[in-house]
Amino acid sequence: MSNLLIENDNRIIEEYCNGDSELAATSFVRKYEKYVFSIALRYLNNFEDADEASQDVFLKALNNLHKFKKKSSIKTWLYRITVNHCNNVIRSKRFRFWSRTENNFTEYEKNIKSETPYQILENNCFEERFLLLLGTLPKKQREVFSLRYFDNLKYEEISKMLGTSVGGLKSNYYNATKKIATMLKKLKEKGEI
Amino acid sequence: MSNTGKLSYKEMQELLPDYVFDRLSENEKAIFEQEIERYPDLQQELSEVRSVFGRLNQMDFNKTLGDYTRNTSVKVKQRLSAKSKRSSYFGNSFKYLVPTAALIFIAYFVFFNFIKTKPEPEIVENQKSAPLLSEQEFLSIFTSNIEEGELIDISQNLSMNCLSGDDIEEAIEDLASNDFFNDIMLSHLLSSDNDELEIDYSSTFYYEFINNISLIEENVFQIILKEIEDVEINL
Repeated sequence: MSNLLIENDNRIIEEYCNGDSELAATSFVRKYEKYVFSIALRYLNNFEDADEASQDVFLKALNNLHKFKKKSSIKTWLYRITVNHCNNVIRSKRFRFWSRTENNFTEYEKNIKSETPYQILENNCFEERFLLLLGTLPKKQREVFSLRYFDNLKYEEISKMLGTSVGGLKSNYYNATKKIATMLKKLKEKGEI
Repeated sequence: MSNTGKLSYKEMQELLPDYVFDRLSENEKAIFEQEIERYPDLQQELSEVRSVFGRLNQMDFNKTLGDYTRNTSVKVKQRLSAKSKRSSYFGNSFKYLVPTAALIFIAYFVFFNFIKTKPEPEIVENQKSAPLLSEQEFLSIFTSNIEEGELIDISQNLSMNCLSGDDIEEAIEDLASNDFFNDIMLSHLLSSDNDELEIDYSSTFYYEFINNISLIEENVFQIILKEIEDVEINL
């Protein structure tokens, strides 16, 4: 991160709320853009949608930064905004799909889940493919793996974000790791990685 | 981690990913390495996970994510400034327009509901307590001699106590327009040929009267009763 940017969260909030908004906003977005994007990607499973969603999330967050009470970390707060926003996007997409095709929701579900983990891996570069592969895991396993492996968060913090006990998280983390290992092993055997 | 120093199979499983991804403290790492000797199948699992995740650990996910988020801050800034411009143009007008429209809407409904809802004529207390006549008493009224002038008195009496204000006029109009009242009361009571009223019980009008008595509205009926009560009757 550039030295010109503000790194401290409290200073970012203070300066943004006191009117020096441009630098503070840029610092805020630059600091958390990958974090927000990766959450959106896991929920939306599409790079373009995740990009648009992360912009929306930052707009919402910046408009409400003065309301942030510091009872939780900025990461936890941003996580909630991102998840809520992504759920709204999924809902509206589902509704649009449903109203356009005049079919029921199960058609939509079939459509978005039609790609198997191995089909996903055929189409993108490995890092991208792996990020999309995560989307095929059950939600709790996917989230705990990503927040622990990529974002290096503590179990206590993840527990607050997901509303799950630390014991449950550890168990989900182990299961996710095992499933990913199995998928990667198969790909390795096929010589795809 | 259990206090006894010995870790259960489940606890070891839960520590395995953090051990592979090097997220354990030195102390935890030492305990894990010591304990895993007791679980050969976990040792096998550990080596498998390590071999496949070795490739993953080499990957630069930050770079991949960075490629996608490179322009996010610029896009957000543009959208922020576009939003603030829009809000400076329309902000104030929307700020006042919506509450004003809501107020007009509410006022419209309140006003029209007020006009539409006419208050029911109030029945004053002495009307409610007007005594009911027996059928015999009621019929006897029609067999008595009633002069034209006395009918006017009836209306006057009616207007004195029972109703108030404009409702009196409305009640009298209702009475006058009531077919039943016109047919039975007026045509017979105001008969100019006969000073003495004779009711023919066998005639159809009597039966009509009896049959239709249930059709009289309660308030009209009470008015008639009150009227009757106040009349001086010579039996």
